[in-house]
Amino acid sequence: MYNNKKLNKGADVRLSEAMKIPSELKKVKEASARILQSLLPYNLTAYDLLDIRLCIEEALINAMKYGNKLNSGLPIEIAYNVDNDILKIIITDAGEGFDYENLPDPTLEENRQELKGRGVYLIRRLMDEVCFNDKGNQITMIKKIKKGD
Amino acid sequence: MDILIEKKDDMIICRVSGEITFSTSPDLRKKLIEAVDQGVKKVVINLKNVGYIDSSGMATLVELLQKVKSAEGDLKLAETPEKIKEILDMVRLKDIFDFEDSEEKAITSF
Repeated sequence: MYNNKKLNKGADVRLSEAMKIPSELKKVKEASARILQSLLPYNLTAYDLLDIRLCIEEALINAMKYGNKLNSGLPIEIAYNVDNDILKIIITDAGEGFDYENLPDPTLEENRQELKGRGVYLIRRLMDEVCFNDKGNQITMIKKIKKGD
Repeated sequence: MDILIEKKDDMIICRVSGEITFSTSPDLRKKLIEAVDQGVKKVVINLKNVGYIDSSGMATLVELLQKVKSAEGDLKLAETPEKIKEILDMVRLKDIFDFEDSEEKAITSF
């Protein structure tokens, strides 16, 4: 069982960028690339960018597959911002939400051979703050950005 | 993603380059499952040129491992880049896969 991972530092970040995309998996990479573009001034390492990309894409895929059941008519709303060295991303689907507090731990021996259940775990490991709304159809991810050389 | 497959008796060496993701992994899955169904028992997947893997890609590797093991064979991952290893380790997949530093070592490790 997980709790929402929270840092107070990210709570007041305002979001200035927003986009709405259809629930089509082919749109995932394009959307993540657009968010990553906003991080260019920070000269992040390729590894850091890879971690952030993984979180964005896992969250988008979950929203499309499990939230909107791949119904392309249902939108995914993405809001994001980088401010004061903090990246904040909010992804919302139009689905019924899910029980984010009781996801199986994929790292337990009995779950390592499972074919599902790693996405949210990875997001929680790679982001500094992760929380869901009560319904479970909106994820907020916050990452403190370390400026590169 | 590009997949180059070399077959040697009951072994295949699969050299993957690019990204193993929800959109590319079905192709890898299809090719390797077909090979195992045709009698291949030793599978080497060379990940040297893989720069990104998502949870669907990881699931595909797990599924392939299960498939090969159920056919009484084995699967080795070769030349896995450090970043990919780090992500696989994060979800403890390093505990279920055999990693070899080189393709040659993977081939001789069966």
